[in-house]
Amino acid sequence: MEPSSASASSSSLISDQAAEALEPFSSGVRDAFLRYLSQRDMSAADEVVIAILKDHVPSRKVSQIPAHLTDESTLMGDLGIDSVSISDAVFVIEEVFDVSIANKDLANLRTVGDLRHYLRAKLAVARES
Amino acid sequence: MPRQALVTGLGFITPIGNDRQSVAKSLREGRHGFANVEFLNNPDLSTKVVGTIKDFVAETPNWRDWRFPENYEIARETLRSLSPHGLYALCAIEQAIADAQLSSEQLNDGDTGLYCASAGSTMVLHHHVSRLMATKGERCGPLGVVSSIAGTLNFNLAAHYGIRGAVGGYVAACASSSHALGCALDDIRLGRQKRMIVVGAEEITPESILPFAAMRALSGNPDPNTASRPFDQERDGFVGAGGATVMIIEEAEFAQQRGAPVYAEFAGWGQAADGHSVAVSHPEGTGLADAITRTLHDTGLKASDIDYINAHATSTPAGDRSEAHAFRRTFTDVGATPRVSSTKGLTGHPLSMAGVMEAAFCSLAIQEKFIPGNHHLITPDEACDGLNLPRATIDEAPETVLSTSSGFGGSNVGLIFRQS
Repeated sequence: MEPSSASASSSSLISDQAAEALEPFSSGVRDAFLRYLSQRDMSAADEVVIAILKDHVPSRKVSQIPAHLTDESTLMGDLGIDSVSISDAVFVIEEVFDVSIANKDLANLRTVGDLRHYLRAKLAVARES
Repeated sequence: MPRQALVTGLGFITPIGNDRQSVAKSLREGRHGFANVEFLNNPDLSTKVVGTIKDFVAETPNWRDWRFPENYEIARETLRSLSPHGLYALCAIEQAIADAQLSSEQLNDGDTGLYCASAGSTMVLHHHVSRLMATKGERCGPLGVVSSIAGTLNFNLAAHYGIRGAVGGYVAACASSSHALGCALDDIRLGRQKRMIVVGAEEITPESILPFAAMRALSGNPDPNTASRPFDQERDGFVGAGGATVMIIEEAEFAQQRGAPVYAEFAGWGQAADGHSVAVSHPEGTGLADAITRTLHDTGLKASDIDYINAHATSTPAGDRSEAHAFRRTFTDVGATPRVSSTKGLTGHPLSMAGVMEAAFCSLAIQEKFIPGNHHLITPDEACDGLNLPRATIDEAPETVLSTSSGFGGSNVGLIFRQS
């Protein structure tokens, strides 16, 4: 199924804080988030996380990173995102997915895969509760 | 012979121009930078005029909303931790670096320092603290602190340019960037630094301007042509303004060795406080008079050596009167009659940025050989009796110029620039 544009009814699923945090992103990213919300499509959640990370890659580095990030890509080394910008990216992820990521957990998130898997687990726990 | 300091570069984002040429033209021709504004879409507010910043749109805390002239290339990772006045400051530094014929790489030589002055961004701080409170303290943008608190300029600019010398910020309200200049001069005189970049910047937002209306300090005059009229009997408060100004000063031999362009010598400075009120100047201008005396002493000059005074005068009833008393005591009473003008009649009052903006105006006046007038002054306050207040610009080269600044808590600063 082709992702639909955000309709009025599906938009109502999105919290104000998530809508504000996703406002700068393309409609494709916002649609992915809606797909995650409505269908619990975890690959769609991955898409949103990757977009947030890419948004924090320094301008000089943007042309050097592949279009499709691998799980092995390190946030600081390969993507060039410094620790302050990682904090900002994580804040956006927290706002969008309404989760809290503790400092001790953040310290272990070195790669794209670390973050993706961590968030999937976090969202699964949140859904169960 | 003690080390001397020279002014070698200037940068401007001001209500009267966003480059040196435009600013000089506005000062010469008496073109003001005011426009009507309706803060918070509230027509009932008495504050209806500000000194606006042209060609920039930065009215929200979100850097993605900002627009600025295309000749400034600023990466998103740089914008992300800036506030609007940080954006103005970065653009003004870019001008000053080019003006001083420097490359940005030369700024990380360890001999270059950076002193900044601003009140921080109350708008950006408000934005982040609101989110913090709404989430009962659980969530706040992690760049909220470095993009908003007083010090945001030095945090961002030192990192961006790789400055490894003295870096710090000055907070004395409307005298802040004058303190920054004075301390920068001391660092050069003491041999601690060879080059100092001094930055003053402020933004024009409801959060930054309207609290001064609550203090009854702002003009309620809705006419952009007359709202800011320092020293005039009819003045009724200051007109808020913003932007950024940057001055680069260098140790004289160091500057001469590299063939740097020179505006003027930064000859000396002095400061003294009123010890009187949290907000209002001493009614007799005692602190400012002391600051002027100390500034003259620092330079070894006499009152009669000063050709022009760029006054702090913001157009408030109490402040201008106090300043006039200080000038009468230090100049008129000893038979000296320097020309006196307040360029805030054209720019409005950009708070922390005022000192370095007006010091830069003085440097321009010396280099381009003119004395700015009091363009909106019609009938001087009687406290100004004996002061020489030209209305129009004078085509005459001032040799030695004093710039004064006064801030809350009675902080007063004098700065002297002269032909090099």
